[in-house]
Amino acid sequence: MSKHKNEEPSPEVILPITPMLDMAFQLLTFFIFTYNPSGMEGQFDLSLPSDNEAAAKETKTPPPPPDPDAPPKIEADVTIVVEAVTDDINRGEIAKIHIKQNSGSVIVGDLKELFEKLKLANETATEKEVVKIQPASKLKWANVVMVADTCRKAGFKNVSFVEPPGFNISVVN
Amino acid sequence: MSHGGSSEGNMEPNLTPLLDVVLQLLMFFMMCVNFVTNQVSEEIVLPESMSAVPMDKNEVDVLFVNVRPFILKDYESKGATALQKLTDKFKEGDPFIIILGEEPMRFNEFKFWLRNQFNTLKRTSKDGKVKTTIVMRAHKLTDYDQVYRVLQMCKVEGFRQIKLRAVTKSVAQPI
Repeated sequence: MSKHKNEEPSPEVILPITPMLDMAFQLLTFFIFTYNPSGMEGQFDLSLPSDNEAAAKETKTPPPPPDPDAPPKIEADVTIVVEAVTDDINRGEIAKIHIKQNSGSVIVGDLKELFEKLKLANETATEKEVVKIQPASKLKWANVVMVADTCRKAGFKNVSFVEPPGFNISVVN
Repeated sequence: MSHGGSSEGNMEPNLTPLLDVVLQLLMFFMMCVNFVTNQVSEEIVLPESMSAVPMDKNEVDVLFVNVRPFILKDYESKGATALQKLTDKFKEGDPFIIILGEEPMRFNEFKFWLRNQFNTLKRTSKDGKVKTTIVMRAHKLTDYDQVYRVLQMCKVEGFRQIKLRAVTKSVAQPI
């Protein structure tokens, strides 16, 4: 009697690839359609003038004792005042930029010129890292961020925003 | 005449490499998928900034405040009833404060909402101090005075840490 007569071939394992592939394609299609390669959100810290500084300006009385939680008073040699276009077409765009220093004030027309002047200003400033930006009330936020970016690029790491001209502080209280 | 031997009946394509590629692609898209956080409003188009740094993932104690001007054409697709409700409350260009899970607010409503949040956080805090960070997402078309007003409100109500969001721009902006 042959030894191999009772040996049956082992059962073939069939993996059902088709449904798996179907599902994989469906998932792939879903992710391709919902893929949104938008820019990553980042953030930056903010410095605002302390309440004491604002109060002292308005009342001309001695400021109250400092609050340990309050942000530090901003001391900067350079202040940038940004004017906005007011006509209907370009409303909120940058009109003029004033760079104010102890030595005087300079007017620049665009961000490129601002960058050049700020680099020079940074070399002579005592507070090399701090700059104040005073944008006009109606300046678009995107333009404010662009000005702040230019300041950082010119070497001022600590950019502070101050109240727009004519801002009524009582509206927030 | 021979027609090519015994393999004539076995014409099944080899699916393994195809499956490999598909699964790799699938994995790529699953990893890159941008899950929208429930606090973040898609109605806000952030300005671009090259100095914005990536967010700190450990920072969990945050309150998101979305600010934008009310622009009617952006909301025309919302349906007549919702649009009517919005136009009853807001005029074109009015500041429009969006807190997810709340109705859009005006400044005075936002002030009270913020005060309530601060008081609740202070009550629930162990040491009585509020360490919550306000993350402000301002639309790029928002006027500066509106952004500044929101920031001042946060400060007046007692929030000490404020962060501003922008879209990170890796390539240097041509100046």
